[in-house]
Amino acid sequence: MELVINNLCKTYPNGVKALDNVSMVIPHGMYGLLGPNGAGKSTLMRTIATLQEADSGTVTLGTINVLKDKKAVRQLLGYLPQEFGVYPRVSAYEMLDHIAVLKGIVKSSERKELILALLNRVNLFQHRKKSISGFSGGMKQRFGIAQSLIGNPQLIIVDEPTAGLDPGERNRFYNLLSEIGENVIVILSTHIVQDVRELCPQMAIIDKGRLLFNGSPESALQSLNGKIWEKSISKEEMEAYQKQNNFISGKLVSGKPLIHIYSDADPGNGFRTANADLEDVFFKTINA
Amino acid sequence: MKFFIFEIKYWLRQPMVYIFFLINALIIFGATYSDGIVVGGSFGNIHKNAPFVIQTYYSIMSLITLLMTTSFVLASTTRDFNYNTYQIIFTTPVNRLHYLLGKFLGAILISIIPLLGISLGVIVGCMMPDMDPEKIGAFSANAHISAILQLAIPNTLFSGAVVFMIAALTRSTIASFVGSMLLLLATGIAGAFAEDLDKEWLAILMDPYGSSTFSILTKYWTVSQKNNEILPLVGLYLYNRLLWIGISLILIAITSKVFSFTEKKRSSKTKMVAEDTEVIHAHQPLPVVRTSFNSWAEWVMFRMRLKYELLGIIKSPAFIVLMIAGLMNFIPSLITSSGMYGLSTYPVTYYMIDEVQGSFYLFLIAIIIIYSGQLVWKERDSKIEEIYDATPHPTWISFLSKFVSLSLIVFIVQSICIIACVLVQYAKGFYDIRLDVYIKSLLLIDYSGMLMMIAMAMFIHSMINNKYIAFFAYVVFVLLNSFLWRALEINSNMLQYGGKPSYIYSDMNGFGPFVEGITWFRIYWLLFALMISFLSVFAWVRGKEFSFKQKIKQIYLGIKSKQRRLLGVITVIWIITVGFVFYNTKILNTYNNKKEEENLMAQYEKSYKKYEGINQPRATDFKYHIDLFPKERRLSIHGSMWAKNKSDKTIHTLHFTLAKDFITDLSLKGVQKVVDDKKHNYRIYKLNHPIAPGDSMEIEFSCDYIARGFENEVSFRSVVDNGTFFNNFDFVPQIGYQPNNELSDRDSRKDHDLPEAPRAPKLVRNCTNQCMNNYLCNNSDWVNVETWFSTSSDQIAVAPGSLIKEWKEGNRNYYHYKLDHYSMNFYSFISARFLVARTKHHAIDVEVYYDSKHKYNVENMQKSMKKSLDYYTTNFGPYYHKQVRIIEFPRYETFAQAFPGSMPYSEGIGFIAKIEKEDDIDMVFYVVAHEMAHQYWAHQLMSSEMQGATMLTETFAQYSALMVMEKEYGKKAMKKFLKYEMDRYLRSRGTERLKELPLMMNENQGYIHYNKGSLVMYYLRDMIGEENVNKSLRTLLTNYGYQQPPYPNSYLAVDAFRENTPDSLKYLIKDLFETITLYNNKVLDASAHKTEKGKYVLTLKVQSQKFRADSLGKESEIPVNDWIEIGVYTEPQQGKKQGELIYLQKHLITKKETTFNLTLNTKPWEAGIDPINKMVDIVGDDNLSKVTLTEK
Repeated sequence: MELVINNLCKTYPNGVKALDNVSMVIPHGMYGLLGPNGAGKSTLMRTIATLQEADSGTVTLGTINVLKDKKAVRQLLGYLPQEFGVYPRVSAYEMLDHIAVLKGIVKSSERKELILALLNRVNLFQHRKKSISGFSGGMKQRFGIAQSLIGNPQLIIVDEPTAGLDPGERNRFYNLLSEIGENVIVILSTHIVQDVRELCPQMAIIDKGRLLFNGSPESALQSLNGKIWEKSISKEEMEAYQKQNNFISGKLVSGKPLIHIYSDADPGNGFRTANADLEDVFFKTINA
Repeated sequence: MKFFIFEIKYWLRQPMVYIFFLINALIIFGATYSDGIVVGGSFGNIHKNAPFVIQTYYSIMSLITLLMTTSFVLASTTRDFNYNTYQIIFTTPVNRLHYLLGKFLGAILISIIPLLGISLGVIVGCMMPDMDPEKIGAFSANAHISAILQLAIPNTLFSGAVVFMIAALTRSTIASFVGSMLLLLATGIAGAFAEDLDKEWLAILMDPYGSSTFSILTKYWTVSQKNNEILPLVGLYLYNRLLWIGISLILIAITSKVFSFTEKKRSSKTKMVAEDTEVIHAHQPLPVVRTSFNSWAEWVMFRMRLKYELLGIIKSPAFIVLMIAGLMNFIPSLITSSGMYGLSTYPVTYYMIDEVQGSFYLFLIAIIIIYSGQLVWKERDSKIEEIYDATPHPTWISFLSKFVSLSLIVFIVQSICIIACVLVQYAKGFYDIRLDVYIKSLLLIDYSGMLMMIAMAMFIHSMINNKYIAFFAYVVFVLLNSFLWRALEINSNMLQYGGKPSYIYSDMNGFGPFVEGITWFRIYWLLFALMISFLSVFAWVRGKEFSFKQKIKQIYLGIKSKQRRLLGVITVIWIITVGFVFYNTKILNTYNNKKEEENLMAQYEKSYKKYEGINQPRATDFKYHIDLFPKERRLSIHGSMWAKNKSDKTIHTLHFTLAKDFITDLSLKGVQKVVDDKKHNYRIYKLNHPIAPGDSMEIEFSCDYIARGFENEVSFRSVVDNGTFFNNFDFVPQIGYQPNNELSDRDSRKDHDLPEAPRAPKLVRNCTNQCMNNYLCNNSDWVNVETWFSTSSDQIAVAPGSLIKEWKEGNRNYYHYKLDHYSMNFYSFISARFLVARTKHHAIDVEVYYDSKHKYNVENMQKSMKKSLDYYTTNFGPYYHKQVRIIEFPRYETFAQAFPGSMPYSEGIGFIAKIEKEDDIDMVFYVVAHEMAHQYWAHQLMSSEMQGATMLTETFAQYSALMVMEKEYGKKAMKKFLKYEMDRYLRSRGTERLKELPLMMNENQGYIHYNKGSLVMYYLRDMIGEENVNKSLRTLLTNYGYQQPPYPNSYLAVDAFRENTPDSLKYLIKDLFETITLYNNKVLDASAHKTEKGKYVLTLKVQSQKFRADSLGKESEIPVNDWIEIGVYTEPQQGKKQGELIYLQKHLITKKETTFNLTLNTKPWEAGIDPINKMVDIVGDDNLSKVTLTEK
């Protein structure tokens, strides 16, 4: 099963173009959706998750018209929104049970077995009777992933799942995701380049509603190989470099700016060649 | 200071303060602009913007806004905790006092803003172009300012201080709301003290909001005072304000002191879960589950959602608080229900239901308003909506589970109320519990209305994508729906959402004539609610699309979806219902709205007023053949009257005004119809053979009434299944123009360009021409009546006079009655399933016709009838009928009325009255004695249609009843009764609509002819003696009993009293009857010392002021020259309130201040002037004072 997006457009009432003629094909496995904040990632995710309407274009999941037949999509969907809350005074087990019913698992014995397994899987088993409102950020995210796995989902959408997690938690979370991402479609939206690098065989970069890149991270890196140059500069010089059109990014290394530029040939002027990473791809794409 | 400013800036950016401000402004605007909305009560001649009214608004509204203040103060004090910013703030070196007080004072200042809406409401209301300028006084900035300074600010401070204390110390929202609810309740209880007249000073001190204080201190204010004066901040009012400001400051000080900066331990509920580091377990395949989405799965989802929503409501703090507060408000009032003259009634089921509706529904409606919104917004509020909405459940499950859960909650609450009522009934030893009435009233009629409320609220919340605006919109909807239709003078239940005919349950007649209309209107609106619920499901927000366009699209898709068939069927049924209801209410029956009704009355007057007083024959003898079919609500009457030309001129034309509820057929021989105005029910006939002076003609008529289908409002409740009760004016065609049918309301007359109509013609002495009509009717004098009355076989029918014959024919009962003595042309016909209690008293049948459920007071009624007969025959003169009857009728009206020989008496008063305590006033006994007295004062001595007419009937009936009561219950009981009368009189004169008049000129004003009448007659009796009063009354009866025109008027009565009053007391006649005279008697000083001989010398300094009041209550002092009693009491025995009266003498008092020296044998305890409160005294409770014993 593939998710096919064709010419998807969405403009908000305030005039913001959230999706501008986006087309892509998302196969099995983890799919990274990369873009800065406000790029339109969440709009795209929610549209696929049947929570928002598109102005035009189509989305199909296998044979299902996602924009029309929402019910069919929801039956195959696991969704972890970027932010979510829970009902007050409800335990993790109760909440999962609740969602399991809503996902059509009618038999209570099956629900119980599944939920306990899920809780085990995300290591919340011993906290199953505790109120979710008391969970830490990481635990809550794990709860979130558990709920998204209920009911054999064929399409899992996770929106910025690692925001606010510490590096350890982030790692654990990736492991979990990659495990489940083997047989189904998992769309991972993030603005953290590293996430995609580590997890996703396929990726897309969007910015300002437009799809800028679509393919494997390797192919993206390959296209930049040998064309990225770096240089340590002083802070005063920064502004001048930023104005150059081949400027990619600048970050501080040990308190001194280190800039990356794109150039087919050696630009000289103290630049040395650098290993291209996904971050360069990202900035190169969105700055272009 | 910076916290203060921060707080204010914060709130000014929030919509809440403006919404509250607008709500208050709207309420008060409504109260100012429309007479339909009442806040605290201002009516009659009081200006809509009178200082009194403004102060009343502020004192009442500051109680109502308690919850608003709670919200502000609570949010301000706990915000930093809720958002965890307290850690940041409390680690900085802020002064904790500044922090706390700054936030608190900021919140207080903000809390005052909504109250200012009151002033805006009054001012804008008065500026409305169609306001009657006579109802608006001069703008008084002082009134607003003093109300704000004296009431708004201290009250808000107090509310705030209490909430502040609870909030700061517990940091719990629930505790704070519970606290403010309790405060509201406590204030209510303090206010209840005020109702017992003796505990007023206590009520004043215990009144945190000054509202009881204000109403107690101004209760006897006259119209002119209310319009012009601001209650000065002195005396008890000042103490009250200072006391509660003081208490507020103390509370604030304590709170600031105790408040700790260390974070309170988190409560166990939100305990943080310890983090564990080890995370992902070994790869285990997840079990395979089957998912299904068939209807079984939907049922499982629904069941789970329902259970979840139910528990959610029941466990939520606001629900618990509202329930507790509601029950706390409701149960005490259930236990202590009281009626007239502080008298209680048997806890019959319909009274219990009234209590539920009166004191609990407010809370229930609050629950509905809050939760219908809370539930719709629940997922979005807890931010789980994205997960929830993306699951494959059908949308209707969300809607339906929320709707059903709230409906179930309301149902359970209603059931709890019923259980509480039944328990109270049992506890009071009352076992005639009507479970069916509870179920029909509360669970069918009312509950279905609540379902409509829930449906509408959820509809609004699913249509409007802002929680607060949606809440506001719904409240506005509720208000508009209740008031707008009336304001637009559209009173169709087909337009007012949830409208239904109003109904009255009667023990006699059950839900009677109301059932059909209520049922159909309920079906009509329930179907409508169902239809909008479909729209709610269609428009339900699922996901993140909020635009209105999207909703329209969703609704469009919804209507096209497969649910369209179901919706279509419902819509078709609804349309059929619309047609059926329309057919019944608009085609089978018609109804006029108020405006149309007024138009008809105005046109009647404009067209036919010119015929008023033209020479017409007068009715003399009536015969009626009445056939009543109670089950069908059908009445068929054939009657005849003889009309006699009593004038000295020939009569050529006959004019009739026909009864509007009946189809009337007049069969006259030898006449030509000149006018037949069906719209205004007026007919004119030209007589082929004119009636010569002294001649009579017979007029035959038939009148039919039949109830068809159902009406928008049940219009004629006189013909019903059990308890048909109507009088001759209801159906008999009236000869001539009837001024009683004119528009009487002053404003409506003005609207229709009709001249101002006096309430009664001016009183004139020696009148002949102006006194030709009595005040009951203008086309007959004393008449003979004979009736043949048939009814169904299970009922007894009663008509005026003696029962001549009684027989059965077919399946019906027949009765033949004949009046023993000619009487006033005013009598009633009654039929119901009666039990009859009969005894004979001398030669007179004493009968009570009553419903089998109401046997409680039957004996007492008979006793009162007998005692009354005894007193009246001894002191006034013979009784001319052979029977006295009390006949019960359904409580569609709540009065007792005297007709010749019979007194119909509503089941709502008297029949269920319960005399519990020994010193209770026996209302039943009193009312019967009063109505019995009308057999003389109205049915023998009838006054002419003129000012003072009711003095000869109502006032004398009051006097007679007082005498019978005093004989039975003694003077002490009278004191209590008269205290109520005094209170009623002094209060009512302050709310007079036009003007107060002296007793002998009163214009049918209840508080004058009843309440003041009692006081005046009792005082006159005290001064000139019972025999002199009775002699005067006897003379009147001898000279004017059964008098043919011209009828007597109040001059003759006053003259009779004057004749029997000694010269030294003649001034009384002027004071009591001819003018409005009031006194202010009080003790200035009372001290005593013991003499060597063991006697006591009492020095008593009293003040006596006498006032004459003009018609608006403006009083001017006149010199006093009156005989006034001075009295001394001994020390009361243990457990008694008052001791023995050891001295009581009338003294002629001629100065404002007088000092008496009295030598007494016993030690004086209390002494005073007019100690028994026999005179009309503006301040009655300072007439007695405790005596201080001195050495010398």
